[in-house]
Amino acid sequence: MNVHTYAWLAWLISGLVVLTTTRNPLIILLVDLILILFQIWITPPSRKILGITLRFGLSVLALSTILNMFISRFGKTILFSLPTNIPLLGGNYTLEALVYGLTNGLILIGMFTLFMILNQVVSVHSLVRLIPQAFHPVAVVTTIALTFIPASQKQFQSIREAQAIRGQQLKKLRDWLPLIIPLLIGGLERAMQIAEAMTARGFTAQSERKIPWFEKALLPLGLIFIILGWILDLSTNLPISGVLIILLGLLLLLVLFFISGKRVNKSTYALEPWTQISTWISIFALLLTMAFIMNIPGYQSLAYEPYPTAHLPEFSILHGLLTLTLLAPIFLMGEVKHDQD
Amino acid sequence: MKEKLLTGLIYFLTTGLGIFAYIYPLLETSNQGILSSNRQNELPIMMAMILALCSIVLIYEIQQYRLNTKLIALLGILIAINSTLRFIDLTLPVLGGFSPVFFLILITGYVFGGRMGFLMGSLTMLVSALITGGVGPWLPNQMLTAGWVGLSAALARRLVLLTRQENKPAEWIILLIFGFLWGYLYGAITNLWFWPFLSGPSNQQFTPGSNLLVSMRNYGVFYLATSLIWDTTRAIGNLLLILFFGKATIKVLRRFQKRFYFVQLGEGN
Amino acid sequence: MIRIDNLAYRYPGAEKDALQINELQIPSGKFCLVIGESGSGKSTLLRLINGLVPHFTGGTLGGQISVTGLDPIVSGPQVMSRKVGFVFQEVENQFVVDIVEDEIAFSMEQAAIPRSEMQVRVQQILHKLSLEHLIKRRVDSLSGGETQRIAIAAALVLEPKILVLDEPTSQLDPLAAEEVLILLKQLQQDLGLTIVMSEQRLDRVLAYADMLAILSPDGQLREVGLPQTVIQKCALKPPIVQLAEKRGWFPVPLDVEQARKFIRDEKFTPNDKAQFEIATTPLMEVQHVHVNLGKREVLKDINFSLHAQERLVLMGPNGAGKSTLLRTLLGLIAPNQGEILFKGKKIEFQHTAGLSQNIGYLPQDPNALLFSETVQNELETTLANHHIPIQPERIEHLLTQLNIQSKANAYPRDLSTGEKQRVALGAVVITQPEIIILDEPTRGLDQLTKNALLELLLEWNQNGKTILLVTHEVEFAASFASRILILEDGQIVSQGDPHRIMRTHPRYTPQIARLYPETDWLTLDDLPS
Repeated sequence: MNVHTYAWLAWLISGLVVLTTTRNPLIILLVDLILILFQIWITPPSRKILGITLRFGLSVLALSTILNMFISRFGKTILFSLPTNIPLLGGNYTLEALVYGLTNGLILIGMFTLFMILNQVVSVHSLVRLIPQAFHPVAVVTTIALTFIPASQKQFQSIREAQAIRGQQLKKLRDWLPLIIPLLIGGLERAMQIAEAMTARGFTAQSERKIPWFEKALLPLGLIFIILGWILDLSTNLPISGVLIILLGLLLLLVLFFISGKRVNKSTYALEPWTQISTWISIFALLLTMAFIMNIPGYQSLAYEPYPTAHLPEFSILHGLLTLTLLAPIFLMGEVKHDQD
Repeated sequence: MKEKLLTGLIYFLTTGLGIFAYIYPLLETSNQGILSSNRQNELPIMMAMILALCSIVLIYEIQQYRLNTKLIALLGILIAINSTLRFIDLTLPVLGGFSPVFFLILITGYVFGGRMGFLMGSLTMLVSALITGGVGPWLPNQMLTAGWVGLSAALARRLVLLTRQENKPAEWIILLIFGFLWGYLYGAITNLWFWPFLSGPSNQQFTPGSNLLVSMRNYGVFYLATSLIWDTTRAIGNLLLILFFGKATIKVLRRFQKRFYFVQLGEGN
Repeated sequence: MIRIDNLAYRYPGAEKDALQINELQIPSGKFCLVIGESGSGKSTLLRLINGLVPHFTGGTLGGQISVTGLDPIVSGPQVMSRKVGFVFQEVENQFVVDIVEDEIAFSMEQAAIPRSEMQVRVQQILHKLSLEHLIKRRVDSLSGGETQRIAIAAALVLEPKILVLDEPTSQLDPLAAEEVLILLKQLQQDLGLTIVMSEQRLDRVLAYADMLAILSPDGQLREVGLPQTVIQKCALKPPIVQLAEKRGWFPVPLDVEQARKFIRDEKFTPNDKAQFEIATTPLMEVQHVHVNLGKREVLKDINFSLHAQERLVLMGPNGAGKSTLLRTLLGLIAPNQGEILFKGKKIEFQHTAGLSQNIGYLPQDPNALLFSETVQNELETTLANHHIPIQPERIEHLLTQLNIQSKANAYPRDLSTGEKQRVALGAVVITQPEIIILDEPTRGLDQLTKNALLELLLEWNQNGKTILLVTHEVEFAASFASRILILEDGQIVSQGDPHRIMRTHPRYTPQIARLYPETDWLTLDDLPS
């Protein structure tokens, strides 16, 4: 059964909330493992995803750990030190910095895997459909691009053959000119044809109505509020006012997008059905999100700080169990079709 | 005139906000404000959101007032071509961060103006992410930076026109410099996305005397260690592409320019 | 339904009017065929009907036009899109979305039709055109005929009163073209549609039209009226009409069926059957070649030879594997089984670049070749590729032969379709290859240009070149071929004497042969005078 794109987004958000609210390496490690398992499950075995993920994961861990140890020389447990007269490299290297760096790496792996899964389970068309109505022209640009990539590749192939047949050989970078120029010209000519066909079929990019001035002013106004709010937030000790102003700015922009989206007088043909599974996945996602932002027992253990002295992080069994809900889609979907994308 | 001021303001604000969002993680901040709670993990997500906001605002501004049907089709096709070029297996040895996409982004911005350049840059990244399964929190960052690449090409154009160097060697030298610099800048800016992960402010409060300079030094070392060689190949790649294909490509685009910019009667503006 | 008065239109920056029409009326429910050479303003006329001219093209326009009571100049294309369905010449380039149903829904989305209604209408139009099975397919996976019919479905889904088509059959094989024309006639009758269509290949479509309009090369509407009368004033008539004129038949028959009654009592003596002989030595031999593309077997056990100085024409439906066969001959695809010999040597051991010095190949889309700044340059590039010294007199001679010597310094991509094709042809034959291979060289050409190409190829053949070409055009093939090879579904179904082959395969039978089935005549020239 199909899962609605919005349900996948809810799932994604819950995963992001877990990864951004937690600095406890044990929980994050658990989440990483769950996500990697998820990814293996939905990927056809032929793509050998485990190897790729492990290689990627290890290099991220190594990079983040080494870098943090180099940047942060603080911490009580000194692993080794280099003579201070070596520029940049000299000084202490600590266990605390190592733990902190490792945690960073684990979070990165988690986020990366989370999005890799999203990219795999949600079709490109569904993603394009997420572009709001106010951005209709952009959605059309994206659709045209996606439609013409295969055509463009085919055209490139035929140009390559046509040039090869007149004796052209590809040895230097300069030899690519006879391939790129016809591709470009052909594309531009094609763009005119598409534009013409779209016009003939009733497409217009801009509405005939003149846009009222206050609507034009909403954009810079919203931005000014956001920037002002942020500056306030950083420079005074009244954080709440800054946040409010930022929210006000965002609201103005949302209002603007809403108004101009309403003006786009177009309907949509494609329909994505909402399934029962989608409801369940959304409920689990909500549950997980709430659990990680509310102060329930074990909440404190999520914030782990290795400095100044590294210690073993606590592990909240409740939170650990909750992260397992990230696997809900797998159990609900049952067998996964490994179709070629 | 009013219109121009308003647009200028939008560009100024978004650019400012974007730059600030990028250097924010480098700034020394104590434990205050929404972005610096004890848990630093949301910083990259926050950054992604702010950068996405900048891209969205700019894209909105451009599409709302500047796009007509022809330019929509033109952009769609140019992006398709750019994506095609990206996946061609060049029979030449290609190393590191080399990517042919920046060439067309720069040239599009140079010929069709900064706004088209911005859309070309940011939407190329969007479409690439869609087809390669690369949608993620790093995407707004790539979109905004690539958009800036295209937007900045308008500066190159202005520079050329101001100094009356059109069709003179200096025109090419300016373009070459732009391409070369962006090879490094793109890497330096997009890598900033990872930076908070690698050295969040909460980490720095334990580093005595931490300030912008120290952060910059740290970032500089990080950049040299991880990206310099990678980005050098990109810079040289841009240089070579502009050198070999720049002239011919600009000529082709110029030939079509008039046809695309014809104002459509039914579409106002 | 459509009424045009005192109309003059000029493209932006042009010095002359592209189109001048004093009076044109197309009544409701008629099938109007618009003909004329390329550049005569056919496309401009079609685009006037839905307001693309001047809204999309710009330019200046005078006079009146009224379409279903609306003025497209005032209303603009968006309003007109509900009244006029438009199918463009290069159909595959008009699709915006990649799935059939979404593509058909595109114009309804623009018209803000509610989703439930859209779903009903998509189903209805696909049912009407018997295309339901294609609903979920990717547009780029369709055959030529299917693509054309989907484009028609997409144009009709807003239930317009008028359907405009710009050369809808130019890229189709004879069978697919026939099917599209029958579909159009049926739609005209069932829905009461007014159809306006431009076309280059008259032999096929003439009988379907209720009205014929001829545009002169300078964009004037020269003649309009009943096809039987108007066709006589046309410079380029299909063979059957030419014959009717010669014999003084009246009313002028428009197709073979209508002509039959005139020859009932005609006395003729069939020519002595000329002996068909296979000429000279084989230049190229194809032996038991199999080619797989992906999992599909595209060519199955292909056997034939190309003999020196012959004119071999390869015909067959779209998707039969013709282009694949050409690409295999050129060494672009390696056969999975079998061998190809060029002058007795296997081509798999020869470099494509080296081989191409002896085999000139003109691809279907000549644009794939052109990238230089001037025509002259384009030809020099090929010589440089082969490391042949550039001899200006050789280039000049070839350009003169191709009748483009005046364009030597022009930018190739700005030329007309016919000229571009000749530049591309020049670029591949400048090395003076022994064999010239052409893939659908008549595509998009008007009758005059086609005739010029025919003459040129015949002349080259006289001078010793061996020519292999692929075409869908039965009349062109009949005038050119010394031997015919028919490929269907990856197999050679027959090869040999055109006089025999073309009449045993009904799809590939020219008009004269259909009219006189007892003879071995193919073209007017075969007829005893």
